[in-house]
Amino acid sequence: MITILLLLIVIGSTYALFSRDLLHSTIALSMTSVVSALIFYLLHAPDVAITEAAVGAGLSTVIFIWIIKHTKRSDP
Amino acid sequence: MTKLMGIVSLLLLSAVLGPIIITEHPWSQNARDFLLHNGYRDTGASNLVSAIYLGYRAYDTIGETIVLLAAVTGAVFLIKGFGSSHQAPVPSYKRGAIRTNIISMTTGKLAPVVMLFGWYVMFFGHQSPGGGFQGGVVLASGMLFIALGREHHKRDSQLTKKRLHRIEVLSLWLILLLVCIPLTLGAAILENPLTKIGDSIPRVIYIIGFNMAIGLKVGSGLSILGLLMMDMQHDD
Repeated sequence: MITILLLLIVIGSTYALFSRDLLHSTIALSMTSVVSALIFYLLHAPDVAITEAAVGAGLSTVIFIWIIKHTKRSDP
Repeated sequence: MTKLMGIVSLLLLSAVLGPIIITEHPWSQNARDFLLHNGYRDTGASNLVSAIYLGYRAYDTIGETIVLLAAVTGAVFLIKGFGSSHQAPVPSYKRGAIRTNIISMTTGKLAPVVMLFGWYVMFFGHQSPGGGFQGGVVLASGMLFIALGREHHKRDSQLTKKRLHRIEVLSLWLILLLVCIPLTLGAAILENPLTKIGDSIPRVIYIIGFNMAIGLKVGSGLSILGLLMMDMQHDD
């Protein structure tokens, strides 16, 4: 179970690293945060899971999308 | 050159971290056993994570709060427009039709639930998972939900940016007061002061006060940051 989730994290972060579209990579990063929050919950650390879900998937995604809106969307 | 440096640092990292991951050597359990036996009695918090970061390690938590204050201050300095909450409203055709009725309805209905959950996480951080930081972040996202669903000129409420800023400063003072209270009762700084009084008052009150102050501070700081970013204008 945890191995599958870790594989998902690797896939998501690799996609975020190599994608040319910054919006797509932001969504992939957000998915990575959600999956790691799930892993934290499965490993009996609900405090860290709450923090990861609120900060990683919520706030940082909002800030990234806001910045993309104010700059260019594609990575040259 | 950069590639070589990257490969070398990967090799060094695996040389340092590899043995820790691969090894079967059992970890030392002194700290865990100590916290398991003494944590609840010393601080009164049944959530041991809160017992550590507001009881044994409260000094680090204060530093963390000050880091957040510095970050918010820097962002406020960089983003113009703080203090002038009554700017000229931007015409809606310029901002693009990103606010629809669906968004405003959904955020308006969802925000109270989110904020209630934030208060719960904040106040019950000593029992259930959570605490000041997490509750503050959830509270701020509830505030930003409300702000997201409204037009720019309708966004002004009783809780303007200046008042949020005032709440932040007051909660910082509350934190400093909580830091100094133990000194007046003859305890060491940041030691739980209720240990000096006796068992008549539950010790967990100190932890709840810290959670509340930190949560208010984080929530108001992040709300200011989000509101500033939403009102940010294009320079070009």
